[in-house]
Amino acid sequence: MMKNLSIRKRILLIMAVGYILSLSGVIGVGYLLLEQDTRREAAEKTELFVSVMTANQEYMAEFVRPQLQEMTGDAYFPEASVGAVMMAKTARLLQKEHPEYIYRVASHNPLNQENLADDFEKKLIEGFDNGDFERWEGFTTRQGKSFYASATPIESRENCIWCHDTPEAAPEQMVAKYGRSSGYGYEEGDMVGTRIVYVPTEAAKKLTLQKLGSLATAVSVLFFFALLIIDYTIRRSVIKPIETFVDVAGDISRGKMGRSFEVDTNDEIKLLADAFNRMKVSLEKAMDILRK
Amino acid sequence: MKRGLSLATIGFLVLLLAATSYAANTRKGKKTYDQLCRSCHISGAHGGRIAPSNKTKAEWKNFIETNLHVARPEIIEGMSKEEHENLILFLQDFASDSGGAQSCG
Repeated sequence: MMKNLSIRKRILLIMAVGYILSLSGVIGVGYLLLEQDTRREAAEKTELFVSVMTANQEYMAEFVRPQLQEMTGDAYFPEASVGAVMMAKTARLLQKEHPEYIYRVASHNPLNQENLADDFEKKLIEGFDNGDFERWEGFTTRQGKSFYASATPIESRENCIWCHDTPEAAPEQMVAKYGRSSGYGYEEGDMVGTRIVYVPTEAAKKLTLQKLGSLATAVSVLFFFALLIIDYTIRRSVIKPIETFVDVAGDISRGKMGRSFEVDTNDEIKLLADAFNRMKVSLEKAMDILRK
Repeated sequence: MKRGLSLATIGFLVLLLAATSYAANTRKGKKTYDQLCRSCHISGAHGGRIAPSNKTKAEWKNFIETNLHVARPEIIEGMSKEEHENLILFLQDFASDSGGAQSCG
């Protein structure tokens, strides 16, 4: 098939095949790299979010709660003494600025039913409890949307028992607020929940596709200009001289011996022109001999 | 340079595995604690309620290793070496001087 094509078409075909292969390669490799980039970016965001929350909790546990207890005894003021409450409220404030983030303190046995773990979160808690992993990070789907999530375990410690032992032992105001049916029976060491941050990946994926689109466009534009330059060079350096040679050779074959093969380059085409000119001189000599 | 990188990679993997297995073993220790300790030591039972925070890390190590469970020494004697080690890990992780975050959530 290629043999029947003109040089120009043959080169254009080769360039087109090269373009398709290169574009496929660029899109494939680019997608992998950009997806890694998306994952890294999402992981950094969740890490930052979790770090802020952990720092808040540590600040409360180290500075606020002890002083509060010293000043008020066992007064129930969860906003300043219960990590889960403080973090849930802080998360709500953060979500005003960054509504795309979801922060949850999820438990299979929570006081506040808003914190009841869904099936995915229950599996995470079970994995933490079995020691399958110490921390979990990865992609997941929540209410039909794609998220990158980072989860850490919540183990019940001595001070958790203050509220989560039995309704009888728990602060009265807390029992009045949350009821007596859930959130009790915790023992030290129990795996009682997970802190989990969900960062949506739809926007990141969209950005990845946009970047990929830009990359593919850049490659296409480059190929287009390369094609123009190569086409111009081939036409000027090869095709046009060959067409001129064909024209000159036609004239010579019809007896117009005044014509000669001329090129203004110093390359293989020049060598060909010189060879044709020598052949023309030989032909003239041979015809002179024949005439004599 | 390459050798240095390989050693660093191996070191990182060893630390990662150690951290992962520490968590896994602590949780195994918790299962042993639930099975062997909490069967008697709950509120209202004859063993009385206990919690890991009742003792310091050193006290728990001494308690298990020298078997101070005088009421029923066979409980600790009957443990495998692995159960023994994991139980100590768990109890020390929640001991009164463990330094874990003292705030729920």
